[in-house]
Amino acid sequence: MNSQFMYIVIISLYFIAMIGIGVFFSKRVSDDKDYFLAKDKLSAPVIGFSFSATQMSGSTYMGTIGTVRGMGYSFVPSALSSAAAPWFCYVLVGDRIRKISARFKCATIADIFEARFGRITGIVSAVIIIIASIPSIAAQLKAAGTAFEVLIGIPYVASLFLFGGIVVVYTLLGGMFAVAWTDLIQGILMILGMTILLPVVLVAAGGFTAMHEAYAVFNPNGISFQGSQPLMWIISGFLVWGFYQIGGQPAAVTRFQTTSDSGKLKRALIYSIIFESIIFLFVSMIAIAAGALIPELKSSDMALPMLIQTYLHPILGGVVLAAALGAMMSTVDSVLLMVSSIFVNNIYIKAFNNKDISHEKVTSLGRTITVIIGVAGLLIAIKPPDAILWIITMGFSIMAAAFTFPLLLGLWWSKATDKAGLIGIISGAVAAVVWYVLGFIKYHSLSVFIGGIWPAVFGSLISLIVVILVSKITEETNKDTIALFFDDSDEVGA
Amino acid sequence: MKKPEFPKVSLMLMIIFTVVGCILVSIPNLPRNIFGIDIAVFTVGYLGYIYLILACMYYAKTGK
Repeated sequence: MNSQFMYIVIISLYFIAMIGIGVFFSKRVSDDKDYFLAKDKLSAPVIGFSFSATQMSGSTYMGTIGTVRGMGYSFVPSALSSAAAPWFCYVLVGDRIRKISARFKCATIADIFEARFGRITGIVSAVIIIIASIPSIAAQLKAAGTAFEVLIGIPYVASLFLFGGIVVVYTLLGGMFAVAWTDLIQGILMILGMTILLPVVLVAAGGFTAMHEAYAVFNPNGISFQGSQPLMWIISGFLVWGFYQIGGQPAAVTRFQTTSDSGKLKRALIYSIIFESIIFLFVSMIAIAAGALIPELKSSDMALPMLIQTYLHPILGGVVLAAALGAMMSTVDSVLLMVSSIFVNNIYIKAFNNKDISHEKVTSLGRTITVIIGVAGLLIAIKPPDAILWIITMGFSIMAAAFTFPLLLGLWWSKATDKAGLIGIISGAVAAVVWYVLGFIKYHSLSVFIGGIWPAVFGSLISLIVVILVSKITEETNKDTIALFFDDSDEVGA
Repeated sequence: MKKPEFPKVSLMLMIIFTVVGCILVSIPNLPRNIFGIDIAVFTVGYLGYIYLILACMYYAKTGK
């Protein structure tokens, strides 16, 4: 049996397991709350792994190995910062979102903005999330299709529809139950994959010190922080990938709305941080080993597949590949469910005033929207137009710039006004786009920025200043809303 | 009305993480004498994860 056949067998088993989870949990979905949130029905490990698996995309697995191999330790502060994301998110907004969601019956992050800053802000935030997120579904699907084509030899379009079809099916069957439980399985698989690969490549590289010595020969600039990138670029990466996940990853932050139990959310944080620390630490080490072991490589993205093919038995290689696909699936399913939830709850029901709709109809509408968005993502991924590629690149930064400080200040600062929240969100998004455009005009690249300052940092600082200044000059938010929002006593809470 | 209590200790730990991280990243030309890498790379790239896990455990236990 050749390697490719073994990969197909392992990945087929993995896909069958994912569909099985969808079918199993379809029986537990009784209404829209179950479908979109599985409210109070998920355990701490499931919430913790689901948060982190959603936050880490396929690029964490395949892309980061290629990037660190090429840039060396310049990118490692970004990796550490990414691992710190659960810490920033759970501590700074997690418990407040949990409590506010229970009190105001919020199902989405846009609901939180509506509860705090009013109806228009809720709708604007919903529209920004939808516009920024759908292309990211297409991007993950495209990455998965390419990985399939390269590694297993299945044609791109067939790979795309196979992978995308499976994600859509289990998501629409089991909703949040299936998404969160598959995230848990995918997370465990990701840890298993890295734990299999790391010792093998470390031994092959001659040990930890020998690996660094060989890497220094391969990439002398990458063995220390400075050398391959400007200092401000490295610092921006260190700041952006952790803290800015608060606003940049609404699909992950939605996990804080799945429970009303404070203790459970705190236990979930421990699972998240251990999971992400293992992944980012191991990924960084494997990437350095890749530079030492495979100095000649046409494309950095091929670093992981080459390591698998060269150093692992096909069965173990299949497990690592399944883990890489799992990383992509766990992001696609969560974004898919979040977008359909926002579309139904914030656009169809609230913006278009369809509040008398039954719970059964909401669930059925949610499932229909899940399919429509999934198919739209697949169609875009067949041949993404240039404009879509721009939005994919900018999506995270736009949301990080728009939402991070309005969300933080909205949850903790009672003097932030309705108008300040709305203008802060819009100005942050616009400033991030403007910063991208200015960088593009100057450098003809969407990844090189003026002064090395990332758009998420620039846009969010504008947003922060705007929220504070506008709050000083505009009318205070209704006192009853503020009292309800900032009363932390338990009887008002859960 | 009981006001929400901001987790100040965790905020301090975050500020320390960020400031110390930025300082370590900014130091140029350190000797490579720990496993073939310099002390700043070793601290941020490896010990940083232990700091993160301990800080999260502290928050999960105390809520502060």
